[in-house]
Amino acid sequence: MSEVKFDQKLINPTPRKVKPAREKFIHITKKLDVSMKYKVIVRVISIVTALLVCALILNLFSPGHFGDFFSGSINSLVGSDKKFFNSVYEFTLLLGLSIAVLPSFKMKFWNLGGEGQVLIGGLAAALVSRYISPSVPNFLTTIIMFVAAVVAGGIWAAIPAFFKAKFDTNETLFTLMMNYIATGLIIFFAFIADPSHGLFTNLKNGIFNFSNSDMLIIVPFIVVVLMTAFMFGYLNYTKHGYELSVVGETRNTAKYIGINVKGVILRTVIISGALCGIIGYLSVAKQGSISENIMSGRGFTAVMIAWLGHMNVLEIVIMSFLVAFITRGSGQVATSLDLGTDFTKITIAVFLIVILAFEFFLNYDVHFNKNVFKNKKSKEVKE
Amino acid sequence: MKKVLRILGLGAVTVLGTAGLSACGEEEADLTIGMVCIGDPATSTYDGNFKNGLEDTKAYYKKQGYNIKTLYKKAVGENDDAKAAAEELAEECDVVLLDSYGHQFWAGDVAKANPNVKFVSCTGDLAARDQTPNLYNAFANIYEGRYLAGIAAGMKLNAIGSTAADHVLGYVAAWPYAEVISGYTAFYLGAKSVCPDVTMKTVVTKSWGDESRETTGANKLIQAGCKVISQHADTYGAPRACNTANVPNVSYNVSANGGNLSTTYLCSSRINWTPYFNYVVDCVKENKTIAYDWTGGIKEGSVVVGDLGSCAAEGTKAAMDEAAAKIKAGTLKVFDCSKFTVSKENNPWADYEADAEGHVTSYTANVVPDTEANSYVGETEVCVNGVIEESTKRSAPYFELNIDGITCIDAGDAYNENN
Repeated sequence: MSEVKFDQKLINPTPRKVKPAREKFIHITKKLDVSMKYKVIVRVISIVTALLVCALILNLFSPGHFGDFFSGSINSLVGSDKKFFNSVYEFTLLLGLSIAVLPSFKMKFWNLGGEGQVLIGGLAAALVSRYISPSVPNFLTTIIMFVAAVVAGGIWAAIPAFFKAKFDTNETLFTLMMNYIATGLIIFFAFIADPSHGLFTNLKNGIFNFSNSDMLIIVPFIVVVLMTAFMFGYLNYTKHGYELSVVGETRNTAKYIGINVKGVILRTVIISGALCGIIGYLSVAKQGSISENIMSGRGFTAVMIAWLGHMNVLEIVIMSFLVAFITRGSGQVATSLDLGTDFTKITIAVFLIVILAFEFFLNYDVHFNKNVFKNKKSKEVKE
Repeated sequence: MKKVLRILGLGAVTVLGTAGLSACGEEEADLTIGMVCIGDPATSTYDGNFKNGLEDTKAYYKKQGYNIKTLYKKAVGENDDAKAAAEELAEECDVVLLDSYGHQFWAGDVAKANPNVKFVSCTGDLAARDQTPNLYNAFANIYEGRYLAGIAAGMKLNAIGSTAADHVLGYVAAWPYAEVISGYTAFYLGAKSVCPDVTMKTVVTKSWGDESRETTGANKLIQAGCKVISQHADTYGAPRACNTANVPNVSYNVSANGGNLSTTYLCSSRINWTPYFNYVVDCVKENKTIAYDWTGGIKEGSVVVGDLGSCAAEGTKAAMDEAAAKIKAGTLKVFDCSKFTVSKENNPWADYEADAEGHVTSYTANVVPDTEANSYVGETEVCVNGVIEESTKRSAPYFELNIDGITCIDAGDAYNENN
């Protein structure tokens, strides 16, 4: 055996010169506990700042219209009955979707497939509505559509969940790709329903049919409120809710305290998918049609809302409201001042980024060390 | 902390106060027109064409001292966002325009709920069927423009060579719908009027705006021996591919030298919406009934053929002007059945009759859309005196025959994605 030669330098590297820690003016430490009051204050300031920044951006796009941002946004919310109800619907969709993806996110299962689960749920409902015999009573059709949507959404979520539980595949990519498959399926069935244009419209059976059109928005709103209440109870007061948060924290802990980790993953993600399916059902029943852009990407916005809401139901309600507000508001401002979609996209993004940036103050304490200057002065005096 | 909040609160109040003030001082509008756009007019040539049309109408009436206010809802999809957008515009506007075909499915309910507002679903086809008193459709006889552009293409083919192998056109088609078929058939017939042995190859992209498919499609046509290429799709894919391969290109909805394609740009045609918008404004001003279906062509100024490019063949301008004059006078019909033949094998589903040579004598088109979405049955005779009358029974095109001389070399079966 040949002798192994060690590089002496590697074994005994020359010690690095360590500078004595210099006192810094700004000192950042991790925050250990945050009081409710502090949280609320930081949040309020962050929202106000975000709105002001958005108004400044508007001022860049069309100078002299700083204030129009606020009047326009508020106008989009309560300017008229129709505007109010359309805002409520935007809020309903965002809240419903965020609540739907919430349990899987709380379990740290990065479900980006909300959009696809909604689409597939909607597709199932649309197929039932289209191909069921018109002689079936309407309320029965409605129930079958609902169940089909819930089951389809659940199955769509269960596929990536199964592979995650069994083979530990990457759920982010898997759920994302399931979205594209869902999109493709909708287009496929649309061309079966209407070979000429590929439009899956004109559904009749089991579609919402209210004499008062405002009910089209009130009914989904009530359903989503019930979903939210259910989710609040489920996450905070049930064994399931506890189990999924433990699985989210550390899998090993969950395993050793006797939680069936695979079962919990499957169950939670299926619930997520089923709730997405409900949103899909509501959209189809409201519109009487389905298309691949039925959600206009809100499934992805919902992921952001769940994050910004710290996976907390109450905060998610507030965040959904704010995002709905800013989306509708910037749209209204863009219409009244004839600005492009770039303006709406930028405002929404900046609004979210500012709020996200203020998270820093929730996680860290900033200390200002005034002694730094005093010490410097005293040194100078000595010299 | 309390102080900070108080200051912020005061700031917010001041801002809101000034906001209320700044809303005042606007010119009072005589008429407000809203438009629901499927894309952003700043980036989409399709929506941009609509917006320019409406802004020209606004400028036209401004000169007469009649103020029109325009509002745009941009990037509104063909889902119930379109309904919300139309509802909200209806609250402020006298006229609401929707620029995409699929928007019409959401316009019906809104029109019924707002009987005092006029709604126009541009390119739509349901108004005449549904007879909602305040919902209308409009289109333009763009096939006339394509026919003229076809003449430019035919002249170019004649200049390129004299054999049948030289006389091959290529066409990148978005979808195999009547709107597209009618357009490329007119283009082909225009070329055939000056170059009798011309043939045409088509590829389908199955998308209104997919640059890479349009590029691939154009390249496929170039490889198949096409000498001049045109397209009906919304990106610069095909014109750019032609520019790279140095093949003359006939554009659509694109400004004369848009995309810096000067060496291969041959000619272009586009719809000009201003005449129609003027018509709507006049009707509203004078309290007249607006037609359920409206179309305009070369004569009305609704179809515009752009300037010729530097690569156009000699004499093209004169030939096009002559044909344009005949179209205006009504002596030249684009779909003159004596000018083309059809065969049953290419049209297994179409409901038509032809003489022994294949010239159409009777054609029943699907003019009234069926309520059951999956049945497209022809019900209206559109072949009158040996001419298929396109866009007279309904504004949206309905000519769907596959005529001889045009072969599809790629039906887009590989694409199943819709954008």
